[in-house]
Amino acid sequence: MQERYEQLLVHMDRHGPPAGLLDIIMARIGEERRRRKVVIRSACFGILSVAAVAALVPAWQEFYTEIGQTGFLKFASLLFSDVGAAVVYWKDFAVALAESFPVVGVAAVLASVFVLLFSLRFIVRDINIIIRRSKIARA
Amino acid sequence: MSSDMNALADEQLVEAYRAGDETSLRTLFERYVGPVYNFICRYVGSDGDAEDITQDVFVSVWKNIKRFDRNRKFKTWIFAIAKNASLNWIKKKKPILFSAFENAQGENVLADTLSDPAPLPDELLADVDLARKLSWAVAQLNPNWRAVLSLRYDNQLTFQEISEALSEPLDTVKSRHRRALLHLKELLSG
Repeated sequence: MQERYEQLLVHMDRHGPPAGLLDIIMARIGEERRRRKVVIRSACFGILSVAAVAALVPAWQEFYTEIGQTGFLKFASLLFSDVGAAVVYWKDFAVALAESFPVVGVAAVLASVFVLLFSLRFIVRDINIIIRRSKIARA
Repeated sequence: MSSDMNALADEQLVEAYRAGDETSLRTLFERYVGPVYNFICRYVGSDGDAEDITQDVFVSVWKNIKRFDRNRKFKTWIFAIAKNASLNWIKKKKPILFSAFENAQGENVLADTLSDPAPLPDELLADVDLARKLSWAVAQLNPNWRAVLSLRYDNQLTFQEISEALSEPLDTVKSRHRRALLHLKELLSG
């Protein structure tokens, strides 16, 4: 009796997959893989941005301390208080300014700002990619 | 290379993919896209939706393939994912189907009132229009029953494998199979 049903049921119509379904699936997986990479990259740049903001605080403190210790501001203020002397002794004045320039502090601040802007640029770009792909996927 | 891949068992293809061989994934999916699509068509009863669900199933398989338990059969695993995806779709679209026939214990008052399956008339098996009639009759069944029939007769799974794929006790699977046959007989004889 059971065999009769099994004999019957092998006649069931089989639904064949539409042509190209496997290619669509592989394309979706490829898209998903790219999306995953973008998300991971965004997360990395997010961490880098946070690190850059965190680094900006000590960099600024270093710059502030250095600028006070080297007397750069005092030399620079001569440009406003005694322009004539600065012009007459311009070579000595330029050397004094260069020597007192807080190189480490400025470099640290600029590096932090540069890394922050660089990260933000990629985060914005990746977010745009994710939004665009989500819209395409929903369409 | 491709013929070598085709000779590999499903689980070996999974291992090959995990080891970094991208082509093994396509070979594996090529093997299952038809059976899974057919199973989903039977389960949800809609070709158009089956295509979307099939895509979701394979993407889900790809996402979880690294977590695939080596002690399980790939075949039962992929059908388990297909069943869950189909179930979610039915829950969203047609919640009434669930309460229509079966209770939580898998019992069905309608099926229990039917007589035992009798031998099928010879003329039915010789009917040239049999495939169409069968498809119609199967489409009338409860999705859970259709799933059992599809796995058993379209995909040649054993009851034990069906039990694993559907995460249901073996007795429930056998009971659904019997009830599905009972109901089919009623539909085909009517």
